[in-house]
Amino acid sequence: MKKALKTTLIVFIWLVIWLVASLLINLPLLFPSPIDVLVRLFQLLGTSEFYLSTMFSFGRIILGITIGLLSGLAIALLCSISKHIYDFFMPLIAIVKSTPIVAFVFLVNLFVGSGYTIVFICVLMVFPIVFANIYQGIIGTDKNLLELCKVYKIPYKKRLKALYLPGVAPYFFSSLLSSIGLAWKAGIAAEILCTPRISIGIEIFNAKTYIEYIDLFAWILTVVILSLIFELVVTKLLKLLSNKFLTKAEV
Amino acid sequence: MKKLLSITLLCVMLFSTLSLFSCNTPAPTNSNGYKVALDLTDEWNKISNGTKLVQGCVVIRKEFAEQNPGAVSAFLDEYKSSIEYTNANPNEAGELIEKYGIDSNSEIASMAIPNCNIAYMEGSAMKDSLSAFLTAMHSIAPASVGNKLPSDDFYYTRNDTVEKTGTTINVATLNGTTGYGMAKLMEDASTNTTTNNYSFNVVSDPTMIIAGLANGSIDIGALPTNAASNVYNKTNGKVQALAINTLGVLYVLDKTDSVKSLADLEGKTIYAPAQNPTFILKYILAANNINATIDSTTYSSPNALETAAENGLVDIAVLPEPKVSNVMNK
Repeated sequence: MKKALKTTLIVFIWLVIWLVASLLINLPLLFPSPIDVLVRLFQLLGTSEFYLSTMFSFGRIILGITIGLLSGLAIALLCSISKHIYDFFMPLIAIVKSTPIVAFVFLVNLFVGSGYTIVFICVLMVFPIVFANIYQGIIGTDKNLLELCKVYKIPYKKRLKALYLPGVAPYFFSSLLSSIGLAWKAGIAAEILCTPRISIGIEIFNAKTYIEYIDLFAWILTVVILSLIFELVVTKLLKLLSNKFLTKAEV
Repeated sequence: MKKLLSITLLCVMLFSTLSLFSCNTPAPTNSNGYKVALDLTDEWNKISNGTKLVQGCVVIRKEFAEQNPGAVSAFLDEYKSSIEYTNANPNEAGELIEKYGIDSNSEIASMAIPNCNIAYMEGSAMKDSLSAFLTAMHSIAPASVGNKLPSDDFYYTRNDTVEKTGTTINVATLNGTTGYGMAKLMEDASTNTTTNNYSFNVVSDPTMIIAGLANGSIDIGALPTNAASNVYNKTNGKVQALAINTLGVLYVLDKTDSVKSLADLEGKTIYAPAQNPTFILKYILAANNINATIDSTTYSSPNALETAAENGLVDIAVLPEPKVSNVMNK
């Protein structure tokens, strides 16, 4: 309860700072006051377009995160079998990690519709992080403990539960959380670039083009709040999962 | 037999050398099979009752205009002669355009200039065409012009009797065709042959010009016409349109060789960049009662559509100059 109160107070203080800044800058055309933005946000919340756009964007990003997660997991497992497989995939992963989002958007959008481009971009954000973390977790499993398991002929399932999962889990969870925020950012940025017909990105793009900066700020606020909510939900879920799978480790 | 062969060879050589001399103008069909099928400026003029398709203009801060009528009058004269120079000397203008960063390739710019309909209109001629254009755009997409039409004080008329004095004017222009007519003025300013003392800024985003106009750091800005109306509305009338600098720059490219007139667009899918090109096309098609599908989401930015056209990925596309020249040159 105390934490909620403290957070609310901090948020309120930042809103006041915003208000003061907007009054000082005195360019309501391009830097609106928080009051105007919040009012506009409430107006938007009453429109069906708001929920449609939000759902579509959310759906694309979730799909991208899921595919990125699963593919990161799969390739990491594959690479953990042999160093040669890892070496084979390394150049691909290096390219995916270092190419700027915008370059990918331009390339991919020529071949694939705007909607799927977004999914692809989110996959690109999540995949390298998840892959690297899970791979590290698998490789980093204590070799001595593995030897012990071999000697005592402990079945694979038990090895998984007692060794691999607890070893990989912390890496996996942290990678998931950091890549979610990234996927949101990159996904919305990609939407602004290739403007799918129903998306948050096209709303932001139109708001900028039509010089409707109150709308622009309102939508940005929407994206920030959605991202925070999503991270909160995932954190809670991960906590639940880790409690379920990791405390029951038996050797 | 030998004689026939050598004559044929001679003829072939002759023809191929002759074709080298026609290299300056872009071939009617480019390597991907595209033709410039329609000129949307022409199509607009057919349905517009004498007013013109006006896509680019210069606007001024109203406060600055009121305080410096003489300087504004001098600017209008200098801008007009800059535009006239550009049309009369496309090659030299192209080089100036590249020199001042308004476009990156002087050859493409020079090729595009005749198709860009760079023109100068002020006063009542400007008002007639501009208000008609804004009314048309308002009927298709009200938000693009700021949700309402500007009142009469949006259209600047100069005072002929005032003395043309000089002052410092901060001018900003978009790169691309909106700024083509400005290059000669920039050259004149740098050689100190102008009445006014100018400082220039070339930007790639209208938002920067709008911000400058709003906070007073820019006095005159070259903007697309609908953005000008939008700024007028959003600043509650603090800007005025001084002059038109570009008529229409949109063309329809066709790969299928089936579009010979506007009516041939019936039932087809036309790719167009989002915003203005789509709105203008919609208006023209509606005025002619033609039903066609306009896709402005697959390649929503002009750059994306240009790339798609360069790779032959679209059958029919609407593109602005100088992208048209760029594509046709491939």
